[in-house]
Amino acid sequence: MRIIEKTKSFLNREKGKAKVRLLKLIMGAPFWIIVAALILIAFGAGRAIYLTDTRPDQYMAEVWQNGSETSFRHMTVYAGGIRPGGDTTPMVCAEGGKSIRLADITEIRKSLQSSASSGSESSGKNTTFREDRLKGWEDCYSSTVMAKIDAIEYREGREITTDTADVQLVAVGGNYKAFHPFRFMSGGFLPETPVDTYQIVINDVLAWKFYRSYDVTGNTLIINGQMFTIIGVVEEKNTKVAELAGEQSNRAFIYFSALEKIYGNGSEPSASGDSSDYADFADYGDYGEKGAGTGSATGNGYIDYAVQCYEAMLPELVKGVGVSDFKNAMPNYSISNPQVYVVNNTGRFGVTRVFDTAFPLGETDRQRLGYEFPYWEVAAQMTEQRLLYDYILIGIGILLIFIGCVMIALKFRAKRAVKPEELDDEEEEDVLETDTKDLLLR
Amino acid sequence: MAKGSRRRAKVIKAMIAFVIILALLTFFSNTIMNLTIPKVMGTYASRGNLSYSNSARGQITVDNQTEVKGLDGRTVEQVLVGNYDTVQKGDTICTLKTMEDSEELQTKKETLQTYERTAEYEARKPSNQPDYSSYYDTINTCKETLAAAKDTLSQVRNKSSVESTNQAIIDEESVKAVSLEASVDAAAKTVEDIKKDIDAIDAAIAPLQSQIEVYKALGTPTPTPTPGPGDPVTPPDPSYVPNLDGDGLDKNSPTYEMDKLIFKIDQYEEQKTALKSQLSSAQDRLDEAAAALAESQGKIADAKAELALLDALPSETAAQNAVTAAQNALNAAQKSLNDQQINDGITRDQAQDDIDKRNNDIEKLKKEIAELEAMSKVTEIKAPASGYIYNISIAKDDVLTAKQVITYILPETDRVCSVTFSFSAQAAQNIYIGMDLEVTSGFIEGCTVASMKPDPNDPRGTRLVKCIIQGNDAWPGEEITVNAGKGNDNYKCVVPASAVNQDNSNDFVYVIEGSSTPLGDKYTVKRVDVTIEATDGMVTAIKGEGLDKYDVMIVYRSEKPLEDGQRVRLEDYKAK
Repeated sequence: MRIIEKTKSFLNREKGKAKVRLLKLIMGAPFWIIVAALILIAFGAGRAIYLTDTRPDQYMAEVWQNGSETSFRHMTVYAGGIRPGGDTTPMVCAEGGKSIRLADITEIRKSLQSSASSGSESSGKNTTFREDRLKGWEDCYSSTVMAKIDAIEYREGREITTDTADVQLVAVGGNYKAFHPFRFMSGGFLPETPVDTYQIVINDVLAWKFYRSYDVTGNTLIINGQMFTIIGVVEEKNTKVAELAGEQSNRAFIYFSALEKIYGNGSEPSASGDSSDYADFADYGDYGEKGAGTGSATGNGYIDYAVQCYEAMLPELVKGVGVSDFKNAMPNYSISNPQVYVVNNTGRFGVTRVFDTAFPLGETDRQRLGYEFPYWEVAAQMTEQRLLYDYILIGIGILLIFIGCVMIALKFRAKRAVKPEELDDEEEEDVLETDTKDLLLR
Repeated sequence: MAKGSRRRAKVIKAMIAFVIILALLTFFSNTIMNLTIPKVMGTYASRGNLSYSNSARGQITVDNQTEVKGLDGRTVEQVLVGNYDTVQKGDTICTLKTMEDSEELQTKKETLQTYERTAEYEARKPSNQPDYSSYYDTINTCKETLAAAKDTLSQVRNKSSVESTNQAIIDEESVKAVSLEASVDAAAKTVEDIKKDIDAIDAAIAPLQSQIEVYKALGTPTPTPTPGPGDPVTPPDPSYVPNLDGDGLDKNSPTYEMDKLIFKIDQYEEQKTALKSQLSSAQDRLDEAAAALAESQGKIADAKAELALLDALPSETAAQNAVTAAQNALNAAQKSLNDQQINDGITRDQAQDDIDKRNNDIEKLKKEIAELEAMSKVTEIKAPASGYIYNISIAKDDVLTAKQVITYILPETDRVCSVTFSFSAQAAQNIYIGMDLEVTSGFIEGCTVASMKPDPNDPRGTRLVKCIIQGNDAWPGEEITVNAGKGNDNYKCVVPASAVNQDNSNDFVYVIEGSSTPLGDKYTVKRVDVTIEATDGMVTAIKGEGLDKYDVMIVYRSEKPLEDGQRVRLEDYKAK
């Protein structure tokens, strides 16, 4: 009987202690909430900084500005097109204004030059068709295509193919380097004014695959029978986003004008004869004698290789004017029917811009539907998605800090009402119970 | 005691926390530094030989293309052609929506009506010739004032001579007046005396006349009057002998007493007549003397008056100032008149200009309205020439403007295409007109230099080379690259091409500057603007301030974009 009573008494005592411990834990919760909030904020902010740092190509306007009083805006437009032979044929223009032709670049440049001259008194792009040669704004254009590249060596006077790889070719024009900061393993990038049309820059992945080295400038590669000289090796980013976006794959950069040489054109076959793919263009468009299609070619069979991506660095004295200037310069752009996908790169990773892109849900995806984005844009879009999560984490952290602060304030208020050391154990328990109830009620 | 131990426990806890933080910082210091300081790789600029090609890029333009322009305010209904389609002259390029209510046309008509109303109101307004009479009055007044002032000045200047002249007159006439006064007095006395004598004669005649009247009353015969020239003459009695007295009167005559009285009266009358004659001459003398005296006194008075006026004259300076002031006033009045006339002329001309402008506007509006009305009937835009459609810039529902080029038509054959390249002056030395440049990109049959001129923006350093493109495969906007020969030179400063950066102002490199600090070597980068002399894509010859020194290390690879003055870490190349 005594044992039962003792047990009951022990259980009652333990129950009381457990209650006190639980109450103390609840009262100590604000501290842990704030700690958790700080961890969330630190994680979110740290990852956001890391993610944005890994996409320096989205911050090239600041680099281009470099202390100048005039601010610059980096704008990009992605246009559509068709690939008659799949990924291994360059994108050609589609009818209906959805593509940007090489010829359109001239008109776009004229329009942008006009805007830059009247708006910011900037001098202009360093191209040859205009009279002044001062800098002020820049542009570049590019298009991608998958190709098979052979690495060759000359041994005993004979040309020997040492390796072959499927490579993404990026055909560039204009000042591409100003928009895409590379880390060079060796050599340099294709000069804006070509020294030799058949120069090529490869990435470190391809260089390592072919040569197990990065000092490979001067070596030669063959694409569709056309020989190219390597003048530089660039390092690809080694991040998760870059990997998912396909940046870690084999890649090479050539001049846009070299596309015609290696893939031929309607009026002249390419050196290797591989341009037979384009004999089938008629199946896709107006390239031959066959019926109407959606592709673009001249009356004498000239093929318009589409510009997949056009980028411009525009000066703007008034914030936001660069966006409208750029859109107005697009030959077939209208607000109701843009035909092309325009990206304002400057500030795209800002909180409001990221949320603006994400919401309403699905809207941006619908706008992006049907466009073939190059790897850097894919990576930037992935970064935007990840940044959205990070910003949400930071937002939650800030909210938790607020909640924790409110709880601490309430705790101190309760302590001021009754000092705990002045209470007996039973009274303390009563007070704690009352406080807990009050707290829960509040 | 309990309080002391609790405080000690807190201090111990703080110390432990501090040590843990220190340990963490030490452990992660390298990581933290890695996060903040970018890694760079540097190389020394070297002297070297660089082979390069004198390449240039340009875009093809078609010189004999035909522009097709839009119709102002019209909306595209359907575009019937696409880029590079072949069209014949007169083919329809696009159809236009019918123009029912053109806002622009309405506006122009309303504007024309307003102009015409204004012109009509202007024509009905009374002519408003400017009135300058007040200005002329002012000028005349000023002229008079000026004349008076000049007169006063003249008087002031002649004051002494006038004064002496008048004084002489006064002196001379005063003397003359004294003698004239004496003559007048004498003549007056004579006249008075004669008048008295006459009065005395009259007084003497009066009793005689009374006696005659008495005799007549008494019936005393009156003497026969002497017959007149026509009266009948009675012949005298020859027998009669008169008894004559001393006066020759007939004492026997019954009228002797009367004759005697008459005779005395006659005598008095004769005296009186003689006296009157004297009186007349005396009176004449008196009048003459009085007149002379009056004249003399008048001269004196005039001279005195003139002298009095001379006293009232101002000083010569004041008179001169008055002349100047009057002249200025006159000038001002004339200037006011001229200014007003000029202003009125300008106003008149401006009004005329406005009228001319309005008339021109009316003519222009009439023409535009006629054009718009004519245009509103157009429903198609047709090809003005045969050839390829190029750069068509319209779509369905686009609203056209008058100056908008909706497309270009390129000739099917014989296209005149040209490209303007920009070469450095050095590279252009080897280029001559007629030279065929090597085309390194683009399906162009040939590229011949047509002209060469200095670049207006850099006449010393750059040449614009215009080339004519051969072949029918040249299309506008196509970018081609040409090669004007190879170059091979030695350069003082050759660096990897990746070392050269670019921003909106210039090309530049980053030079690594090192310094030793107690915590180790510290490296920073300094921006140096450079000029690119030549490049072959892999290496670049540059020229910049301070780059010709042997120990200048230039960044040719960096982890992230750098800034001037930024701290960096040197990376080992092999570490990749």
